[in-house]
Amino acid sequence: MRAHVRILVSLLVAGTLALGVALPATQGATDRNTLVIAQNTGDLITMDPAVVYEVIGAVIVDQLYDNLVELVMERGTMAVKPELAEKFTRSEDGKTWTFTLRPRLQFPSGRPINAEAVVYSLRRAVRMNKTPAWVITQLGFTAQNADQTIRALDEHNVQLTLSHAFAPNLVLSVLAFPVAAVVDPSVVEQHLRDGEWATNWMKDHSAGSGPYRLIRWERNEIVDLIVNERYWKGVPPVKRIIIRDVPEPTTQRLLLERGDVDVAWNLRPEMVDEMRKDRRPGVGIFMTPAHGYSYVGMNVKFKPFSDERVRQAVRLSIDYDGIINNIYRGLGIKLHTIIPRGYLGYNPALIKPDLGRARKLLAEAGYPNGFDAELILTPVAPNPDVGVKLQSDLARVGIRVKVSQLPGAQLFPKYRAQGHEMVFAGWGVDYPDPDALAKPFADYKTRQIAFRNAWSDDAASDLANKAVLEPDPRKRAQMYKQLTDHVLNKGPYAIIVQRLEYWAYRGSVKGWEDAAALGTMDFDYTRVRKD
Amino acid sequence: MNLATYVMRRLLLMAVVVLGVLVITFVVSHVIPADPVGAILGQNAPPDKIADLRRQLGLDKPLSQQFADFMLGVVRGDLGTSLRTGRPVWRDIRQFFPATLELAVAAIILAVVIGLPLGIISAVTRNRWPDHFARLFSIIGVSQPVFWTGLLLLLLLYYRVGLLPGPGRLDITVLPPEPRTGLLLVDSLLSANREAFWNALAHLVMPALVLGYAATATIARISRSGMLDVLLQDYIRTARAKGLTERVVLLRHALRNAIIPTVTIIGLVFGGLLEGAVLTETIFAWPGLGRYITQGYIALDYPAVMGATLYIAVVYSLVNLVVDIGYAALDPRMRV
Repeated sequence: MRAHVRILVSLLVAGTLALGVALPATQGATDRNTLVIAQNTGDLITMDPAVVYEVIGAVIVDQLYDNLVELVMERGTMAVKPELAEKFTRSEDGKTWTFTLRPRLQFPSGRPINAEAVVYSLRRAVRMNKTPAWVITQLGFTAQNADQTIRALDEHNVQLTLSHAFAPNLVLSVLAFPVAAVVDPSVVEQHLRDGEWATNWMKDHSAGSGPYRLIRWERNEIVDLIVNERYWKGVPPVKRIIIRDVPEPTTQRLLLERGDVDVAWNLRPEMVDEMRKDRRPGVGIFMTPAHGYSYVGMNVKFKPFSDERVRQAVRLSIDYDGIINNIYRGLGIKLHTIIPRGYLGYNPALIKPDLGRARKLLAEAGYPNGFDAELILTPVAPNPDVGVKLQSDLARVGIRVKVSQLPGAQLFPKYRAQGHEMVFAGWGVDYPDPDALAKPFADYKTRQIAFRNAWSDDAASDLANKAVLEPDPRKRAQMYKQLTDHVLNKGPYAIIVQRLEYWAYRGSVKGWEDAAALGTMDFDYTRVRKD
Repeated sequence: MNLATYVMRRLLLMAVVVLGVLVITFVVSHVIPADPVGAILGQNAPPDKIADLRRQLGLDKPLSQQFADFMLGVVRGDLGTSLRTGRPVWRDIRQFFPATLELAVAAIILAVVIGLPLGIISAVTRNRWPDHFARLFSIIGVSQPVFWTGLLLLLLLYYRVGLLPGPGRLDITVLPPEPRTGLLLVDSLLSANREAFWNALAHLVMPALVLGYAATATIARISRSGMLDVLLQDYIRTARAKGLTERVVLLRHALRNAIIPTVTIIGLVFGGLLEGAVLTETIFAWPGLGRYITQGYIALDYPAVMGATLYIAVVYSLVNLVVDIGYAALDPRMRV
């Protein structure tokens, strides 16, 4: 029997190893024309520009479609420039905009990109009224008035009539958002049977004039883009982009370091920190400020926070440097006002932590021994670590924080219903105009962040609404300076960090800094090439 | 009772169990204070947009009516549309099921082929070195987290040694076979695509080893204890006293009786594998059901939650039915 046992065990071990040896261990070695990206695509839902609202989807849709205007980075400053439009004019009263299209533009199908296509696309987005539609309908377009407000004057001219004389930067930023992308009407019309406005077909197909076309999307597996040979700006150096769904950051790192992918999209901060310190040859890292930040919200309905001295005490008690350096591993920028770096109206004012002053303010407000409060946050890294750090920071002035982790489906309804005491959350900007931050954080009437924290400050609300109509950028910047100072001192927030976006890529990938200059707000793969 | 009547009765019972599971899941998922629509649309979405979508999806209707609508859909073969993916739930399940099935079958084959003999060897060589080895192997298998084993294997066999390919079902340079069943191994054989077959098989080895290891350990432990119980029975002593060879005693007399609890465990383990294995799928970038179901549950995507619950309840019930029918084949007393 003993002999049998030994033979059996040996066979099992040998068999398992032999299986590995006998099978090919190849992986997708990448060539010069193909860019392979490891990315978590679990949040990818649709490629329809009128529906897409997730960051990852918006980045891909940017490659498939063009807009009337586009975002560019010029000498370190974000700007909006004509894209399909050659030029645009704004009427005297500021409400009517006319866009003149470039001549001889074509979709991959060979059909012309004309005013009719632009009008069809914008009306489609407005009438479909999906999640991102508010970005464009805030200009005054509705399903009922779209025929009058979005019009083709002739083959090359499109006229948009807005409800108010909005600041030019707001109008142009909104028109650069994926929801305003131009689709090929003939392609959409061919698939109308597949869902109203062809939405089902448009989920996993493309009908745009962008530098790439979508040829395959297997959910949770692969997104395959191929170059648009008719691209009007010229065929990009990388002819094919393959996005492999790799949800685990550790796996992304292994694939990158083995050279089986060119770019790792979702590494964890500690990995980037390690890779930077290691100076691993053949791997580069690029970082850029993200279009969003993380903040603590204090519900003004909850008694201690109704006193602005208590809110100021909280702001003064937080060790911002400790959070950024230890939890975010330095991958964040100190930001304490509601308009982040890189935006018109950015206010660099910072709070200097001062525990003595914080204790004094609490005592003046009637809380010499502090108070108890619950902080809610989602259990997504690094939120729980930040929660623990805030708990220990605030304990130094007597504020006893209980940290509760809630999934998003529970946290956000509670937050929306003003059911929290404190919240740690993030905010991503939809379009690069200060209004995308000023309204949510300062105007309670929009029922967004200020409302959720029950901060009904009419002065802040009025200022936010005036600034969005100010055409002069300098005057507008001054108004936002005034607003951001007001919110910093009286508002219900402690802004913690403006995060950084970062990518790790193989040394053979060139031009990533230009491609990712605007971060995920407007990613440009045409700038990437491979040696 | 003949087999057909038995199966019919079990199928009816299964329908009752599945209905019960659906009712409980529906009530629990709808009474907790959560709003999947708000979470899915993101916090930037304005409140009127959230209210609009809730209305469109019928979430403003009374619970009883929502459940009735769901059940009517189930009867018609429609599990509803996922709030998260915006696609019919049955289509999502159908898309992710083949990858899960392929991995589950490979893992259970490895687990049975390794675990069963290991348990028997362990019992037969009780308290000697093969037994100690097998018990150590099993205890590590059941106690080591799958993500840890997975990352270690990936680091060793892919990153350091380069023995096996990395994550995913197929290299990007390999042309996938024409999809017929969704099972890459089967499809590549059907389309005579040898390169895809060997490549897909190589990709399957590591996740199957990781997933199969935990199952192997469970099966080895159960089969060892079952075998030990049987080996102490009088009829085994009688068989040995009759002068039968050890092989005949073990394989013909002991194993057949000892294997019954192991078959139950194999069924349960296989049912669990068919639910998908979210950690293994995440580490190995395997596009299976586990991630879809987990994402659906986290987002409280009601249609996906109900569809996934229905799927899991049916899978478990069917696997148990098959196991029970298997008993009849193994144990003549069950046929009486």
